[in-house]
This record gives sequence, C-alpha cells and structure tokens, in this order.
Amino acid sequence: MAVLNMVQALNQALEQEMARDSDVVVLGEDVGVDGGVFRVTDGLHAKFPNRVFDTPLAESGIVGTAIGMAVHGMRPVAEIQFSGFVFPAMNQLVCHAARLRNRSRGAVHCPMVVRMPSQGGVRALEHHSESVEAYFAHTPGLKVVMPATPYDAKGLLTSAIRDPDPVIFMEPTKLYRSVKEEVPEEQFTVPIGKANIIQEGDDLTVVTWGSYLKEVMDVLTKAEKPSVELIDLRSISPLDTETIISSVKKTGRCLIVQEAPRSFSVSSEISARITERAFLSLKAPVQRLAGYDLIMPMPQGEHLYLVNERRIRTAIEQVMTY
Amino acid sequence: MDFTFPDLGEGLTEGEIVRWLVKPGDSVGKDQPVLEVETDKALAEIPSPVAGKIIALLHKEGARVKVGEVLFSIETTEAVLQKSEPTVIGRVEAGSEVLHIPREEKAREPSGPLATPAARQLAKELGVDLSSLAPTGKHGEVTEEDVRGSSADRIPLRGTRRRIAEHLSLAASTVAAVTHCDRADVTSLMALRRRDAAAAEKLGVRLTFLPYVIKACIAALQTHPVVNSSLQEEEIVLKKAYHIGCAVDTESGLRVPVVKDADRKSLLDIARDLATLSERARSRTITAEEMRGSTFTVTNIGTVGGMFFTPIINYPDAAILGVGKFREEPVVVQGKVEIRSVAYLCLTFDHRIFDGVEAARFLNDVIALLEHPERIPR
Amino acid sequence: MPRLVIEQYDPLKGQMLQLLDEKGSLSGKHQPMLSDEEALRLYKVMRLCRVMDQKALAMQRQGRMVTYVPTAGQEAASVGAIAALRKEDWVVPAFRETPGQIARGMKLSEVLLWQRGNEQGFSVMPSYRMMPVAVPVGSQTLHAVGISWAMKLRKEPLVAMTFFGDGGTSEGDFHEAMNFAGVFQTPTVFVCQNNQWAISVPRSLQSASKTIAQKALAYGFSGVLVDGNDLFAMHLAAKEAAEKARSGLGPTLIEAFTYRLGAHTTADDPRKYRKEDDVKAWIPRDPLVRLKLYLEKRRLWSEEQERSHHEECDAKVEEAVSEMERTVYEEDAIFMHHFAEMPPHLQEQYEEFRREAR
Repeated sequence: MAVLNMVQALNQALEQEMARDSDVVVLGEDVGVDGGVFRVTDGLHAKFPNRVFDTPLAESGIVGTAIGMAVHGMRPVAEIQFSGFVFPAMNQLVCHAARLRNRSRGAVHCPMVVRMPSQGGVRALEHHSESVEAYFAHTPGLKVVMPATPYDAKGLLTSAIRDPDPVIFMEPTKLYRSVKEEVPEEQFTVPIGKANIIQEGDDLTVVTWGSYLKEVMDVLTKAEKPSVELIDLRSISPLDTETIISSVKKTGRCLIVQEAPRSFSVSSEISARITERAFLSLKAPVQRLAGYDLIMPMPQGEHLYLVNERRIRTAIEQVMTY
Repeated sequence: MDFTFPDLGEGLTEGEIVRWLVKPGDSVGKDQPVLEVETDKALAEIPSPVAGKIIALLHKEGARVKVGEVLFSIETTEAVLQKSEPTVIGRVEAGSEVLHIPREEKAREPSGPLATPAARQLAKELGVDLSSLAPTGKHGEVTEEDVRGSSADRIPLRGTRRRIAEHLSLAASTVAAVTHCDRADVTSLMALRRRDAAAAEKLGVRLTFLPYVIKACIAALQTHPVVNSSLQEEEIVLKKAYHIGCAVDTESGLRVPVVKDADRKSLLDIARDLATLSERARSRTITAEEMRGSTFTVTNIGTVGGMFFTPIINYPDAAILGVGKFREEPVVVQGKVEIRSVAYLCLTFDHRIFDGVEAARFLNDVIALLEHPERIPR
Repeated sequence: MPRLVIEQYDPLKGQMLQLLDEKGSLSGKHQPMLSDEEALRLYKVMRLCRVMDQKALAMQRQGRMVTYVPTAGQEAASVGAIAALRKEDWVVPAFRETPGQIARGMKLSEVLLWQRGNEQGFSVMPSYRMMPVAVPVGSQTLHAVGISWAMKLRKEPLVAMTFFGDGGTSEGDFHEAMNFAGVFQTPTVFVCQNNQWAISVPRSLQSASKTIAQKALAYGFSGVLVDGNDLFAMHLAAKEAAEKARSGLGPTLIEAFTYRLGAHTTADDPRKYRKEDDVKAWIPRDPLVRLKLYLEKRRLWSEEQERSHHEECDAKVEEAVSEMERTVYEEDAIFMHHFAEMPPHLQEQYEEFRREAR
C-alpha cells in the first residue's frame, strides 16, 4: 500500500472524486495553474481543465458563487487560502450555506465543501495560524471536519464531497507533510461524525483533534503510565458524543487538548456533555489543556502559546492526581 | 542530510553524472561545487547548499540520475530549510515518520461504580472501596449514605442483637421500673454450696449459686404472689406456675432460657436444666419455646464484676432479680467488724403492679433465705 | 448578431431606454416584444399588487399582517424583467419583487407567507425556479452568478436573473458577483431596481457614480439604463440580456430607473426623510397609469373593466390574506431540514422538545 502524506492523500481524494463525478468542481485562489499554495490541488487543473478555476481574490465571492453552483446541482469544493481569511465569507456561510436547506424547508440545499489550511505551529504571519472551528461548529446547518492523519484526510474529504450539506473542511497545516501513513489506493470514506480511538486505555481519556494529535501521540508513546485512551475527534460537528462518553465512563478522567483558545470553544462543549452524561463516573473534573484566550502570537511568540511535551505531561498528572 | 538532484528548470527531468569533485570524508564549504552533471542543455556544476562533511556519494560517474533522486549525503550542523516542496508562507516541514493508526471497531464497556464526585470524595476520606458497596441511588449510583453506612466503625443492627434491642425497648418503654437494692451475707451459702457441689459432681452435675437463688426466689414468690404476675390489659394476672428465666451471656448476646416449673424441681434438677439450657443457648441451638413463658427472671453478672445494676425486666414479668458478684467485705456482726462474703441484690420491679414496700418485703425474704441457706427448699 | 437595442444606450452619456411614454404612447423607435395579450395579463398582475399595497397598511394596523414590503410604483420593473425569462431560468430575488413573482405564477397567498413569518413562504419558491427571498442585502447576487456559472458548465441554455436595489450595489458581495460574472462570463442578468431610496438614504448618497448601469463597464461587460416604469422597455432589455447570455455572450447589468412610491416596509414612515413634492413628481410616471392609457388606446381596456377588476382584486387580496392566515405554522419543522439526516444531538433535542410540548 502507498505511504502518503496528508497533501498527497487530499490530492488523491480530489482527483479520484472528480474522476468519478463530473459535477465536482474546484475553485479558489491559486488552486488551478499553481496547484494551490500548499499543492493540495496540484495536477487537477491539468487533468480537468474545465473544472478547476482560479478565482479573483474574493473569499465571499468564492463561497457565494459556490453556493449558487451547489444549489444548481454541482458539487463545488471551494478553497479558502488560510482559515484566517475565511471571515469575509462568514456572511455567505452562516447566512446562506448553513440556512438554505432550512429556509426553503428542503426545497434547495447546498452540497459543497469549503477547504482551508488551519491552525498554527508553522511560524507563519498574522492570520495564517488560526483555529476557527468553534465559529462554524456553533452554526446550525454546517458540518465541521478536521482530519489529523493522511488516511482520515482522504476518507473524510471523499465523504465531505459526497455529503448533501455544506462541510467546512479544516486541514492542519502543520500536519500537511510532517507525517505519512498507509493510504489505500482505492476510494474509501471515513464517516463524518465518528471519532477514532487511536489507542485504548483504562485510566484516562484524552480527546484531541487536528494539529495536536501527533504531539499527544508522541508524549503517550514514551509513557506507559497512566493507561491512556486517546480519541481523535476527526469531526467537530456533529460531535461523536457516544465515543467520548463511553470512554469517560470507563476511565473516569478526561483531558482535552486543544489548540484554539479555551473559552467558549469546542472543549467547552465536550466538557459540558461529559458533565451531563458521565457525571457519576467522574473521578476528577474534566481538564482542558487549551490555548490561552489571546490573539495567536506572531512567529517569535508562537511557541509560548502552543502546548509542548512538558505542558501535556503536567496536565495529565493534574487530572490523574486530583 | 540527503542532497537530491534539483529541478534545474526548463523542463529537464534527468542528467548524467560526469565527475565527482569530492570524496567521502571531505569537508566542503557552503556553495562549494560537489559534482558536474550533464543535461540535454548544458554541463552544470552542482554546489553543496551547506557546509559540512561528505558522508557518501550515491552514484558512480557516468550514471544517469533523475530529478529528485538523492545524489550524496552530507553531515552538517546547519539548520536547513527543506526546499523540496514549495510553500508560500510559514515553515511546513516535511517529515518521514510513518503513522500506524488502528482503525478497527473497538468494543465499548463502561466499568467502575457510578458515584457523584461528592460521594467519591467521602469514600476516599473514609477509606471505603466504592465497588464493594451496593448502590441505592436513583441512577444506580453509590450514594453518600451508602458510603457512610459502610464505614468501618459501624455495625448494622441485625439478628439477635436486633431482637434483644427490640425486646428491651419494649420493656423499657412499657414498664414503670424501679430498682430496689440490698445486701445479702452469703458466707453460709458459700460454705453450703461447697459441700453440696462435691456431692453433685459425683452425679455429673455442676452446681453453682444460681439454683439456690432460684429456689430462694420461688419461696419468696410463694409468699408474695403479686411479684410472680403480669399486667395484661387492665388485669394483674397472678401466675400459678413458677417458670424462672435465667439470663445467660452468649457470644451473640444475652439470652434468657427458662427453667420451667422450677418449684417442682430439686436443686440438682435446676442445676442440670441450667447447664443444658446454657449450653444450648451458647451453641445457638436453643429454641424460642425454651426462652418463652418466664414468670420471674434472675440475672447474674457476678462473674464479670460490678456492684449495683438496674436490670431491665424480662417483659412481661413483674420483676427481675439481679445478683452481683460475691465479694468479701467488712460487715458489722453483733457490734464487731468481721470479713464476710456478701452479694448485692438488685430487684427491678414494675411499679404499676406493686409498690416498693412489697418489693422490699420480697427481697427481705429472699435475703433471709440466702443468709440461712439451710432453710432453702431443696 | 445585429446590434442589440441595449447596446445602443450608453449609460455614460446618461441615455435611457424607453418605449412607452407617460402618456401611454409608443415612441416607435423599438417594437415591444410583448404581445397585447401578455401586456394585458401583466397589467392585471400589476394592478393586483397595487391593490394589495393599498390594503396592506390597513391590514397591518388591524394586526392581520406582520410586515409587508410595498411595491407601489415599481411594478413594471420586476414584472417586465421576469416576464422575459423562460420557465427553466432561475430568478434570484432580493425582497421587493412581489409583482414579478406573481407574474411568474406564484399565488398571492404564497407570496405573503414569508412576510407573515412562515418559512413555507420560502419553501414554495424553488418550485417556480426562484430562490428564497434574500434578506442579507446584496448577498444573493453571488448565488445568481454561481447558478449561472453551473448552467454554463453544464452547457444548459439557461440564465439566472438576480434583483437588488440601489442600496444593494454598495455591498461588497455585489462587487464580487459582478467581478466573477465578468471574469467567468457567466450567463447572468443583473437587474437593479433603482427606486431612489434605501430606506431613508437617497440614491445620491449610495454612490458617486452618475448611473448604476455604468458600473458594469468596470467589470468588462455592458450595462443599460432603462425606464423602470416602462413595462415594454424592461421586458425588451431583459429579453435581450437573457438571449445574449444564453448565446454565451456573458452578463449584463440592467438599471431599472424607478421610484418607491410607498414606504420601505410597513414599519417605515417616509415623511420623516423625504418631501411630498418629491413623491408627487413621480406620480405621472406611474407604470400603471401609462400602461392603462396604452391599453385603452388599443381598446383592450376600459374604465368599466378597471372598476370591476378593482373589485376582483379587492376580493382576491382578502382571500389571499385569509388563506395566508389559515396556513398553520408547522412547529416540528423548526427542527427539520438542517441536514439531509438529522444528527443524533439534534434528534435528542427534538425529543426533548416534544416531551416539553406535552
């Protein structure tokens, strides 16, 4: 089986899905001739010259026209160059993409994907390292997905393209090329709304997603104690509550590791659901190791914000010794 | 680091290595030419991107190499930006680590007892293991009460203890109890018992003081029938039989087997009965019938110690006689102080049925017999 | 292809396309593309909407209407444009195209539903190949571009027509939509109902551009300034723009120059910000007035017919409002239609909702 990095896996997913379904089109800034600034759409323009479009520099325009295309039966995969630049398109996403199905009571809907490189740890300039999943997860009508491995990237992108509703597809920039994985050559899907248990354990449930997965995995491989059950969310919304709750009922302790700022975030929601459904199993409060509530620092200060091995270990210890 | 054949532009995809300009072990400076490559377009010198030491040359001179193939490896301490994959912003580093992530469905099983954080904390403080407790909470959880109830220094009231508690509760709350105490000189009794005990032993009977006390009581009861009665509804029932309860201390608590028709039994018979009943009480083979129906009760804690005590009536008897430990005390006998053996007798009676005067007279009669034991009916 | 009529009117020179003057006479320069039967049908549609407008305020005061978007004075703009389309073409409205929606075939009761606050009013629209009414100003123009782009990619002989007001042209999405349309040459017809007011903000404060039509030039395609109160001119311009788009010649911007005789919505009082004289000046230019004169001249209409038709409209409006009032709001539907399949967390909440409802 081929061993691919995430960029290659995403590229493969796009290519295969475009070959299978002629309604799939790709649009965005620099996605055509240049193949995307991270090369995720590399080679697609050459293979499908009439279905890959370099657009003007206009995020609202990209998403808005994609909505129109989707309404008319196509399956657009729009790219926003960096998650920090999605905000001009928020109106189109929140007021229309998320709402058209409900507004029209199902008479029209938007089968579209909006992809964006997300999160930090790549020492990039302002706005190129944002964790914005909470804005979208909080919007009814949108699905939000964030793969952390090459296999999941291909499977989830395929699912997203085939999904009849708008999917915000966030790609952790840091993981684009840093790890590889065996990825089946043939097409396959990873279901949206289903987390993956990376390793089983009995003493502590650790929940994470996106950029931090690799980091957490590295910490855990070095320590045998405590016995950790590691969950990779893969989908932010809908959230796989069941997997998380089953795990916490087993272990009684939970640590959430999140890059986004902590307050009013995805970790807040997970914590609330655990309190609601696994209260009687808890041996310690749900612990959150999340970003500080501050603006993502520029490259020189980024490391102060991001978690590292030491902070992960400390958090594990805190929740274990409560 | 590995140095790969770079894209020299203009659509070139491969070239031929003409000449190596270095060998393994050589130190090279940054930008120092390392090899010559011939392409379709030109002969090109390829320089090293970093300063360092050549580790290995991976192709022979004359070999054809493609763009992207590793040409040589060089040891360097310089940080190198991987330029193999273009990026527009930030440092998106390429890594070679391969992930191995399991993707099978896993069985999900909750484990461990359910309990609120508060209950868990309490259990921790009390040193109680939650999983050993039966949960009584609404959601199937172990509650704080469950935890407290199981704490080490609490014993649930069960079995015999519970029955005793219930019985005594009833007695204490129903009877108007008064305890009348006096002292008996038992010196003669002790001497008599010694003499009788030897003979009894030959018959295989263990003779204690208790049969004498019982006999003395019966005699007094015959003189004071109201002491051998029971208050039932609005009637004082004077009993015609003399069934004497004798308190026996067992592992499972105080039991009161009854010597039935003790007036018709000899001292020895009573002694035999007592032995049997005690044994049965201690081995817990005694039946409820054997403990029912007393008309008067005697209780003896003489073996353990104590002077006065206020025994609780074996309800629905009218009175109970407690016999204290036989001890030596200085006693005034005809104006002189002598050391005599004495025992304190405490009679608790039901004041609803008779008064203190009757009680005193009854006890006087009992004491008179005990002090002159040769008069006790045998 | 012979030079289109719409190409003959240069917005930069302030030239405005008009066929029918205020007195109901055709200038003769261009032939209407509407048959007399169609013109009469559309006149009746416009009349119905005018009657609706007149009764709406009273009804709102009676509590029978929640809100209403008046269209008096602008009827010809949306009616003329939409009547030029094929049934399979898509319309992407703003929110003041009621007359055009009726011309397209919608029932008055259906049109009123969203104004009453019932999503059913939106859900019926796609069956007429109309997108639901768009509240975020200007945002719908992008959807029209997207739809027409898809039509082009699929090689369908269709167009998408979108409406927006003079206020809408100030929104960023309008610019992005025009830009995309120009770059990708999408078969889009942009129709600006320039009714001179965006609530209380006059056209002069909306843009320093002399006309809205000329903005198209910045995006590489043509714009035409049209007398929005002239049914025939609107129809002709829209027909040409649509056919031009259909033949792959790209987008067009039509500026329908008209006037909002009434208030922005029933919640608005225009007397606060505009003069009576201003309004009065537009009354002779009323689209209904000139069309009535035209039809009378052609002996297709009479005062008698006007009166009885007015009564008919009255009754129709009453009936439409009653029907709208009778429409039950589907309470459970608030949970439905967020995704193709209701996700587990929403399912749980829906069950909670049902339990509490009891």
